[in-house]
Amino acid sequence: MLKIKVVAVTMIIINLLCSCSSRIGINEIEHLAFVSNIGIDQIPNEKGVLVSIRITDYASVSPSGQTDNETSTTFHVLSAQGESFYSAIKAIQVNSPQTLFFGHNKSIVFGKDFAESGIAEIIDGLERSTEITGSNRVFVSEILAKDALNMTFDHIKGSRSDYIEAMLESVNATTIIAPVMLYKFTLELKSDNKTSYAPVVSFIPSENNKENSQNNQGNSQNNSKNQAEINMEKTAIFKDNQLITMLPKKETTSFLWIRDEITEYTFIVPINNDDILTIGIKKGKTKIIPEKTEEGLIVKINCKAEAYLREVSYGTELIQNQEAITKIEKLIEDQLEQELQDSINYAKNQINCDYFGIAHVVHNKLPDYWKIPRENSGNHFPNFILFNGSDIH
Amino acid sequence: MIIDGFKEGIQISTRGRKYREINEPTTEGVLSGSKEGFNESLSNNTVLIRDRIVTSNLKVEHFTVGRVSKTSLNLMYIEGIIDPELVQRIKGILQTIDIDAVLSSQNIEELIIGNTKSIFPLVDKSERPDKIASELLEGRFVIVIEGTPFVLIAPAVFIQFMQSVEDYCENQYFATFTRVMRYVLLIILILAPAVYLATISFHQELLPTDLAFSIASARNGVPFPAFLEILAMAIMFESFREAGIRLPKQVGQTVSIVGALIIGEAAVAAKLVSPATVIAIAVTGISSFTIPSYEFSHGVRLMVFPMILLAGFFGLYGVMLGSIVLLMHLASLESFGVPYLSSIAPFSTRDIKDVFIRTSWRNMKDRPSFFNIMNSRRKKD
Repeated sequence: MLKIKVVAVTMIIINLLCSCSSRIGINEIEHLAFVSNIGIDQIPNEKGVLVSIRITDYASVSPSGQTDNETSTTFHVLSAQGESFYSAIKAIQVNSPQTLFFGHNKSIVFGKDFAESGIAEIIDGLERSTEITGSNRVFVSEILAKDALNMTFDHIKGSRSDYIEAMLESVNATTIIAPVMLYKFTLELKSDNKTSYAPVVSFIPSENNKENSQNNQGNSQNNSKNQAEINMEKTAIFKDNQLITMLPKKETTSFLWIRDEITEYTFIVPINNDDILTIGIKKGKTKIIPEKTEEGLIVKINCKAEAYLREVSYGTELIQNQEAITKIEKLIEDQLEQELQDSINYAKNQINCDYFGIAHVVHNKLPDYWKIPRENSGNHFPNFILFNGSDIH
Repeated sequence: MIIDGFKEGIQISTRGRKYREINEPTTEGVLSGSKEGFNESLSNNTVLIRDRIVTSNLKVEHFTVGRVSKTSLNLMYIEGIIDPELVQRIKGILQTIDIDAVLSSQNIEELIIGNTKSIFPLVDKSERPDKIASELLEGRFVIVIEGTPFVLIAPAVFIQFMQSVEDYCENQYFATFTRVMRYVLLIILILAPAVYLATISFHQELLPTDLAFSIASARNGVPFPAFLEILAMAIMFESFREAGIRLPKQVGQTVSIVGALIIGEAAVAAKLVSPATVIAIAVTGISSFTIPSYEFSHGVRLMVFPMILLAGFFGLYGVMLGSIVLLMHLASLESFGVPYLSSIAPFSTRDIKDVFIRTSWRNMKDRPSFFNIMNSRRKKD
């Protein structure tokens, strides 16, 4: 009984004196700086990295979620250089009065130059972090990641902490994106026969920003936060821990079809001279079926999707009967197959890399065949790729 | 009494005193059930029970306990349903009680449960004759004590304290909804302040981002660590409750309102506490009122404090540890040989119909099976 009393009194005294010493493991929530985005850039002509973090200024957020002043900026970006990712983070921490907290980080943005130089150490560091989770989204920025984090968007007012979600929302309606999470990105990066990918973020300065720039000419206090419109149509392909190419819009769509990442997008089918059909595609599903034949390896690619008419510029007679609908379906299938074939040729001839993951499927389904020595260190294309039974309804 | 034609008369004692009227029970009010409650008269209370169970199998055995107080009490049970061994056991215990006075039901309760140490009650008590009748029909015994409106019920198990008389007086679906809600609120009552403290002090990543910002923004400027803030608020809440009970009814209500509204709001405005903490403690307080048994809610409310301490020291690890120890303690308890968590552990599919749900009376064919009863059939097919 005496022991219990001693333990109880000791616990109470330690707790009452907690303000006198920093308690290990405890961080009061108001003492944290919530990092929402991390940007990583290469330092030109120098070793090391430039790490930028975007911190939401929650002091300006009222409990209702609105900012005290809608026009005020509710975030700030801190940057520091370091020999490694964590030394740069440490350098930022030195200049921050609050403890940096990465538990609510949403995205990691690689600058294009940095991504091209190699990301192996950073990925390893991110993986070892106890705060940064695998659900972080990965992006590549065509401009410096630091500048990308400084961007604001005309249509996103208030205290959107979720910067990257806002970005995705703003482009989702107009383009095809396949967001990639850190765990998947890392897994594929480490795979022998797969490539990893990430959406490319590019920014177009908005009209407001252009006007502001003109107004600010000659003004010594330049606003570091830029208003922009976002574009996310390209895809960055990573192989052997570095960025090898950025796929343009058309190749991105085909890439996502074959990787079975397609969800919903708009498909344009040209018919009869200048007329077009605008088709909405949803529930896309792709199967890659490798088969070993006497002639060698044949890979069948089977695409399925539901399509619906969005616009018919040609005239209503095109959709008058079932026969016409079947004809449209055939048109879509033919064009889709053509686009996919073109993309495979592009990958084979221009990039010389199987970023579609066909080799991965062959590895899984025909392991015996996979043992045959490969040329071009992992880039494996079968001799013959057949589009079999594309099925668009 | 002299009867015409007889040579002898009968002498009848007419000694008695005035008792409080039969009123609505103060601790177990219901909307749609009976409004009758016990008073301090042993004979009156016994009659109220007899009125509901009109059978010669309802046995009433009289005992006198207390060397000085000579308090009368009645042991009641239904022969043919209750386990005879249980009757012998309680009779033996009552006969061996050697105490100078019995002034409340709590005296008897503590004397009959033996040496078991727990903050949770091992004997249930009620002011309602309909509840007592229902417990007798399930094979329990009750002890009616002179001078108190509270009748003791044993054996008592955990699920019994979560069942309200109201559950059996209203639609089964609504009764099921309120009962499930009660279990959810029980968990909230024990864990809400501790989990809140652990998440804002140790595991901020578990909070949704916007909620984390909102809490951080609200806590900005509060001078005390979250641990002290929550502990102080929990103590303050208990103080207001205690003051509300002790003071006269009209003043008590005023104190509660002043305490909860004015002082609470002033504390938030003065940045002594954050609004989120006030909400966490208020939710806990309201949850404690939903537990039908006042005795049981006392025990649960006491659990809040060790949980806050564990959360303050060890975060969610401490909360998990505390929860496991609490479950182990509950699982180790017995009331007259009946496991306290009966129906849940050991699990009984037969009894589950009246645990988290309240099934239709058409399906209540059997009495609870977690203690020995002579006649388990309640309803014919």
